[in-house]
Amino acid sequence: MRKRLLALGAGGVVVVAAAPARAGNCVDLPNPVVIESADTQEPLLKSLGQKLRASSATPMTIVYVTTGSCTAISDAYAGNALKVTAKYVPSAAESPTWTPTSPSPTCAVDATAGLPVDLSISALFVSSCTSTAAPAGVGAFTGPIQGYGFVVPSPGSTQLGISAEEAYFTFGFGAAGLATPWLDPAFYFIRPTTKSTLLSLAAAIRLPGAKWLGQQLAASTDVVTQVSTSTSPEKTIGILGLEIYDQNRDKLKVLAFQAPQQKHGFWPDSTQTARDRRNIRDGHYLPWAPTVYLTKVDGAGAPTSARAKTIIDLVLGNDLAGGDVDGLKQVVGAGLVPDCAMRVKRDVDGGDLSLYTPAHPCGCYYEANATGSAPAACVACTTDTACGTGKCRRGYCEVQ
Amino acid sequence: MRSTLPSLRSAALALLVTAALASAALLACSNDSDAPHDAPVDSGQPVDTGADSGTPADAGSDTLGSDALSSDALSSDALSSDAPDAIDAAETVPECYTNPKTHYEIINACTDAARVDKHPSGLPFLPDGALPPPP
Repeated sequence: MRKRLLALGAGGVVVVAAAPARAGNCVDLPNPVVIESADTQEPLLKSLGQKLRASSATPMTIVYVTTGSCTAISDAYAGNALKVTAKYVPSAAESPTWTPTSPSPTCAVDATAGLPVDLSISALFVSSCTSTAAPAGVGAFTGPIQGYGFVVPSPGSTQLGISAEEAYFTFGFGAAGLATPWLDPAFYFIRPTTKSTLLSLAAAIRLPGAKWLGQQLAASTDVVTQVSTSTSPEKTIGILGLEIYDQNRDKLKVLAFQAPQQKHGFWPDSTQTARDRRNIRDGHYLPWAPTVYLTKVDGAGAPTSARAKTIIDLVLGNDLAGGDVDGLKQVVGAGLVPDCAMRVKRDVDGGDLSLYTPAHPCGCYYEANATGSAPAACVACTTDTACGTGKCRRGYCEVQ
Repeated sequence: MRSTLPSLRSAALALLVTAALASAALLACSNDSDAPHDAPVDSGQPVDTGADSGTPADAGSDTLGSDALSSDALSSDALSSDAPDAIDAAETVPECYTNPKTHYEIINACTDAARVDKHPSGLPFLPDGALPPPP
């Protein structure tokens, strides 16, 4: 299903922008690392993959297939190989104009033998998909935080927020829920029940995923399209991962969310237009889940795939000796929150929050990169001496 | 009558102490000079200027009280148990928490982040205020 994009130029000239050429077999790409991932994580895979293709210290090609979190988890548990056409991140030499917002080229997979998966990425707690413990030899590593949200058309909808109860009555009851203006399920654009976006929000409003009314769409981009082009914008509501929302702020608004027992509703960010994810990080905005990286591990719990281990280390912000890729910068740029920037945690989707102090905090680094400037309270540093009793981490003083 | 005076004095003293503590808590929250005012109920409109009064303007109007959560779909077991009960809430619960520790305090911690108040009316709660199970 390869496509060429046709666009009519201002002068009436038809411009043909060729999609990246399809490579041969995925296994023939240089240093491939094969990933099956929740589709919300595709922006990160693309941006990180671009850096890794250009890396001299840790060169590799991210070959990936996007799916639902629960599918990724069950495949990881069963050790299933990929048997469908995969995408990959091209090198600058192969595709000089490619950026992480471009479609990824595809490569062929042997449909009989399949392609062994090095790394599976879920965008919610494993416990939301299965109560079965990971089989021996499969390890789970908690990755960056993924936020979720209810979105409405912008411009078009006047709505600014939704409470957990409104969402419960909207998606659970439709017109009978009386949650004005969201009374018609024909204008609810949701995701399937294997997707982290639906399951995480289901946990936030405590409406089981199987009970949601609305149009189940296979891809996040379909939600963007349906919500933003709705013929009845005021009645329209959708659900998205926040990194997808970030890429479409020109046509969507995320709603402030008021959780059960919460006195006010808050946006994921400190204001409707900010990008600091402050309310996720400090516990005022509750629809979020950690990503979980699943990979084969040895008896000591270390990943057996060196490339998978490198990716895990990069997204966790672990220092790689001689490394030339800033993994955390890609995490932040992709709209995720690194664990080191969180001040709260939870143990299950929709579960209670508790206070959290990361071992190596990076709150100032996070805000500096997410918003373009560090908060006034953050002190720039090059050594610990500038930080009193704190530590200099990633260019800013942190508490420890 | 004579024997009740000491208890009346104690009660009065307790009221004074309670009022003083409540005032201190409200002042702590109102130090957040950038915090927004409460938006009108159901307006869905954030107000992003002015100091936080710290007044629990929505007390009693929450549609999801701690006792309104007993349906299968939203069982009380699934909710935080650290929320104050209704009687405590009316008398001593601050508008926000400056040093949050529990889940309830974390989600209601003082902040200068913009906010929206959502207290819609007319939702079909069960007579006891609980959420009905979904069809």
